[in-house]
Amino acid sequence: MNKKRNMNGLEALADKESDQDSTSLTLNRRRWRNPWLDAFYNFRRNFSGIIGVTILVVMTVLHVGAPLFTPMDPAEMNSGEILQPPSVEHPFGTDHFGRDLFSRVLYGGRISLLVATVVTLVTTVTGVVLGALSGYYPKLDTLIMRVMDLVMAFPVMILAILSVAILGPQFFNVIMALIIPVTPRTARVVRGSILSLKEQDFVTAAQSIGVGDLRIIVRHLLPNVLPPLLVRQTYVFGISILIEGGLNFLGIGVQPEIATLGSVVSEGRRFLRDMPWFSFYPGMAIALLVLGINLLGDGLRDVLDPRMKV
Amino acid sequence: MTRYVVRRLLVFVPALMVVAIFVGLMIDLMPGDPAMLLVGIESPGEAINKKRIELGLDRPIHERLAEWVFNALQGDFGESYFLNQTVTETIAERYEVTISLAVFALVVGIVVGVPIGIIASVKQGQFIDWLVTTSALLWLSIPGFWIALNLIFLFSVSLGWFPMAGFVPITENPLNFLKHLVLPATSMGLGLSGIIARFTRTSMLEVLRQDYICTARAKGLCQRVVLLRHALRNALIPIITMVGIGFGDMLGGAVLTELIFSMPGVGRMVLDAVKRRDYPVVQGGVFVVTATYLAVNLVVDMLYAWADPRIHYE
Repeated sequence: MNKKRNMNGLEALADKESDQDSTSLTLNRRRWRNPWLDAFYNFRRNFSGIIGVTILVVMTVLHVGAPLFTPMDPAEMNSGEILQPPSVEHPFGTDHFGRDLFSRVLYGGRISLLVATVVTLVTTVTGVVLGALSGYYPKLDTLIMRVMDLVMAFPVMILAILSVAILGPQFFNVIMALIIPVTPRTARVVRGSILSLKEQDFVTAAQSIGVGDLRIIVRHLLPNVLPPLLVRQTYVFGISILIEGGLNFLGIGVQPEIATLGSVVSEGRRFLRDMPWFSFYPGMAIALLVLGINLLGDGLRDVLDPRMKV
Repeated sequence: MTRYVVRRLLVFVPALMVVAIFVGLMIDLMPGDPAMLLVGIESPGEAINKKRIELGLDRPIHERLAEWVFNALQGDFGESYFLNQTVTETIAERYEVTISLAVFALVVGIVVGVPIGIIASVKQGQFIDWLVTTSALLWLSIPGFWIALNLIFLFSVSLGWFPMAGFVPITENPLNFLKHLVLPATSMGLGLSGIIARFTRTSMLEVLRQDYICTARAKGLCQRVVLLRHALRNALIPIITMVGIGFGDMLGGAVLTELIFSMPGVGRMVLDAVKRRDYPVVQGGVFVVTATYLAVNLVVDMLYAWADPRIHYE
């Protein structure tokens, strides 16, 4: 019923006629299956995808539920336990201020996950809006794409550093520093899909019965853009974790008093000779998070967009 | 081909100008007053005004910008606030380090990535294919700075095979130059090799399904000739694109690697300048790195035309 309320007159008429149609259509309807449901069933059989989801779920639970897994405060200094090797009490050892590395890694991962989630969500919106406008309206295409080309002329890391230099090293600015270089790349994926989709008959049909541009974009084009976009955004999640880790490693990420995976790796660099585990565990956490999301991305690509299969 | 090259060069110049304008606007894009940030927020208004005049910030924006772009396109980026030398001199001293690093990392990426990508495509569906695709994904998931630390621990601290830090110019001692570059270039190139291997595999698989490959095999050519002469040349185009993009990643990643291996490169110079708020050095460094990236992409576009003569500039 809701579906019909959202339709315009001709679409509703077509739908009504199809309701009254004969057996052949009923058979067709029986054969029709929800493609997302199909993708879900296929994904369950995708080995790398399942491994990716498992890694990601375990890591997310560990980081988000950090207080459940460690009673230690990541910022609590203890001068009596400086640079301790891994033990039952401190599974990853302690740092040069006697802080528990296990809790610093668990809490540090929260920043990575938060930054990556926000960047992925925001760039999905900005990328879809810019990509859809650019792909659907040729007049806007030149303007939007030239601006995107300018942003993409800079290497990603250099632009992120430049953004932090301009905005200052703060949590929100790190997110901005990632959104700026990532948005054009997502917009290009959306634009490319829209450009090829808008030439198809179903769009011409919708246009010919007077469906508005916004409705065509939202109801008819974007659902078809979703599979490549979803795959692309899983990689954005991984890249965000890597760049955020890099910025914090360089000391120009979030405020130094907050534990992040990148900053803990950086602190451990000074003790590499005698305490290699110091920087090993936080680096491993970054690698596992990114590996998990990349495996998930590969799995999603295999089931949603097999043409892109690597 | 000549016409294509000339027209591509004509697009390169305005692109460089737009980048120069954007980098030139950097000081004006910053929230707050750069003069106040440099002398300190609590300094008296007089000192801030003096600094503003010294930096030329009292002049209209279009005038300053036009001057910056005009000078930048001629390689003049002004004076550093702290280093007591011109930005151009500072960059000139460090450019060799960054370029050597990026080029060697690219070489590692190609030398490792392309052959294993080809092997995976030939052995599609077999264990070796799974091994290559999985390890490629693993390499591109691991942060380069963490690989670098592990390589230092393994090959410098434990085995003592390579130096931990520093850079030796190629003109001074070619062997030492190579020794100092092995670990940094490997730490950056491994991730890239993962990406290149995946691209090579996909690209080769597409080409290997074509009829002309079947014809080449039918007329009795050996596997090596079919793969390298017939398939790889056509599979090269997406790989070349990836190499162009990868070079940008290497230039950006050089900031981290130069810091870890204490190499006096442009990336580390930019990072230090960001921390010191030495804006002319940040601007000059970012402009030079971006201009290099654009130039490499120009070369990449020309390589397309070489790899596929059907490509014409529209």
